[in-house]
Amino acid sequence: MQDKYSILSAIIISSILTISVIVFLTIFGELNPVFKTWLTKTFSHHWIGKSIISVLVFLVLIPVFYVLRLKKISIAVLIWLLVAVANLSFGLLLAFFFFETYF
Amino acid sequence: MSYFLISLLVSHIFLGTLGIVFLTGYLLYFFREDNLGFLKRMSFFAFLSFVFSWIVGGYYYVTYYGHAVKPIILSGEFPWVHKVLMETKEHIFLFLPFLAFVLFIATYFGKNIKDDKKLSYSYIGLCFTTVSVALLVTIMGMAISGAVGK
Repeated sequence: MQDKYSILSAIIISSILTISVIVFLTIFGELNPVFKTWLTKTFSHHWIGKSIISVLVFLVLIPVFYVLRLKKISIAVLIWLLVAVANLSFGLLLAFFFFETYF
Repeated sequence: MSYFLISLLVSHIFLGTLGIVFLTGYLLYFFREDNLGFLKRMSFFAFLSFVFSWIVGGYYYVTYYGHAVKPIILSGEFPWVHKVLMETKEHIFLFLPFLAFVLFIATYFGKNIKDDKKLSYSYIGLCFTTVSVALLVTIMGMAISGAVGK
């Protein structure tokens, strides 16, 4: 049971960080054309680059957080944290592209 | 546009909608008794739907949208549809497989979800957020399709 908890908490934390990385790559790519060009040249398209990096970050972070075993945070709290990060990330990206277009 | 690309676009929409249907089923049946197997299947199929929608939609977006559809929208009456909605949509879509995967694994490992109110509400919150993001992505997709040629 403890092992299942450790795997699940590692997956939730990795998802939270992966979504944060997607937002960072997106905004940083828009603000820094050199980085976006690097993504395009390396992965053939900037969106493919972000997709591959996000999957890699997710897969690498799961074993890292599994080994760290953060026992003090409950699954419910972690899931609510993921919900909050997903909603905030949505709002942040929408607001960013709105401001980038009009201001 | 070739029949292959049309079928990819239709598959992208169909699979995304299917993911929403599976997660809606998850929400509707969450508080019924002896339904853990059903919830596991719904969350698993939702995850698969979003992953395949990601792949086929991504192929269409990378090989066709950028050079054929995007210029039409940008030169039309509603360029903000691409600049704001499409740019947001193509990135928030990346959240969906991860959110659905967490829901599936959490359901798969969760034997006593119903006994723990805090835990069960967090599952519902996650499912509701995933459905909401998917629905908003769908609405943005409809606006993008509507802006082509206007």
